[in-house]
Amino acid sequence: MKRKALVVDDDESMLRILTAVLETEGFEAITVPDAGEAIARMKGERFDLLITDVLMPGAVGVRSIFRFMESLPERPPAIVISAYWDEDSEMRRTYEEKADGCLTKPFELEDFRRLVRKVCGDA
Amino acid sequence: MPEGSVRAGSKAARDAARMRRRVRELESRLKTLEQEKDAFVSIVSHELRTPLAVIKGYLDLASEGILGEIPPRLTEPILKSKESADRLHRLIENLLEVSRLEDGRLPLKWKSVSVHSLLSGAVSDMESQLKRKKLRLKLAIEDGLPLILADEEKMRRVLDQLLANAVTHSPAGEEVVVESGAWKGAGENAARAPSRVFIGVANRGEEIPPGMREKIFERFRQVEPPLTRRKGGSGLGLYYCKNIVELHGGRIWVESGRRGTVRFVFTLALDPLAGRGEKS
Repeated sequence: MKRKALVVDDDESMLRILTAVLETEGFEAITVPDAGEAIARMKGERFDLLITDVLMPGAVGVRSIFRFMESLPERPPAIVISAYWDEDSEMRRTYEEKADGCLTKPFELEDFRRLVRKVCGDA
Repeated sequence: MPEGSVRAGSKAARDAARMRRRVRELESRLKTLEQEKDAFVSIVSHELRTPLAVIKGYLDLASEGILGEIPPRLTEPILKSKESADRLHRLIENLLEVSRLEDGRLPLKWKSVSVHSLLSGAVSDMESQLKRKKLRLKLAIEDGLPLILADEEKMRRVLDQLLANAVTHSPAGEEVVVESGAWKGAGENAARAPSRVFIGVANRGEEIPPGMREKIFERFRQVEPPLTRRKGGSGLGLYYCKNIVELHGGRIWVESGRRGTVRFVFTLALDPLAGRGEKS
């Protein structure tokens, strides 16, 4: 059975790109445009990987996803992607603590693949 | 003292005080403008990253064949678009890093680094560009070079920049030479173990006029004026290289002769933190 990844981004093109790469890595990608929908999906389904952007419209922030995941018996590995941080910025440091991997947009697809394999223990 | 002289003296003192106030006001205004400019550069650069991520992502998917087979007539346009997107990416990152560098927000992550693996990695990433321009590459690294203490990622960006320059300015079919060894030049005691290494990147190309050899390391400076230049570039790459090399206790310069060889050389201290008490 294919592993399932939940991908959260408000940019439709970005969702398509991430989905295409995840499929080559053997994942079925479920895409949602904001944190609120992400939490709603996670309430009913189990995911093997979470990939999320940071700054998205909507009343519910990405931090809420991480708060929600604390209530899960087993939280999936999580990768956070953003264009708005620098390597030493406060925001990046925060997510480096919360997530299993961070990536800055734009990124090389190969770096994304490597990170997915690493956080999923496939590397 | 005659009354007239006293009056003239106190007027001169008042004028001088007024001038000093004005200079302070202008300095403060200039500082504010600099901060506003840095904030603007940062906002614009970060905003540009998002659409560029989509452009680069789709181009990468296309060139990897994930979007389906590419008709042969589209191979070249996709490749060229990918190269341009990568250049734009480098420009944005350079703008951001230079702006952080200038206001002291670019911390270095020191670790022991092998010059050999640093150079091999940089050269291997440049392979496809070298191939496309039919350039030969000669990598000459002295045996037994000690490890250096450096920020590997930033040093890689310096090498990427110098290699990209060499590829851009080299005529097709020529040779690019990357070399490294113990620095035996100025400041080294020949009887002692070296405290510096040097790295050189050389290519055939147009001579850099003597008057420009220092200026090209200044911000936004290029050999050719912006409106007439034939090759791309922002004029930030070498400025970035100079700053990073100097933060590593080194020096960078260019050697250029009439016979058409351009060689960028930089030195690096084996331990740039020695005596600074910053060792991590």
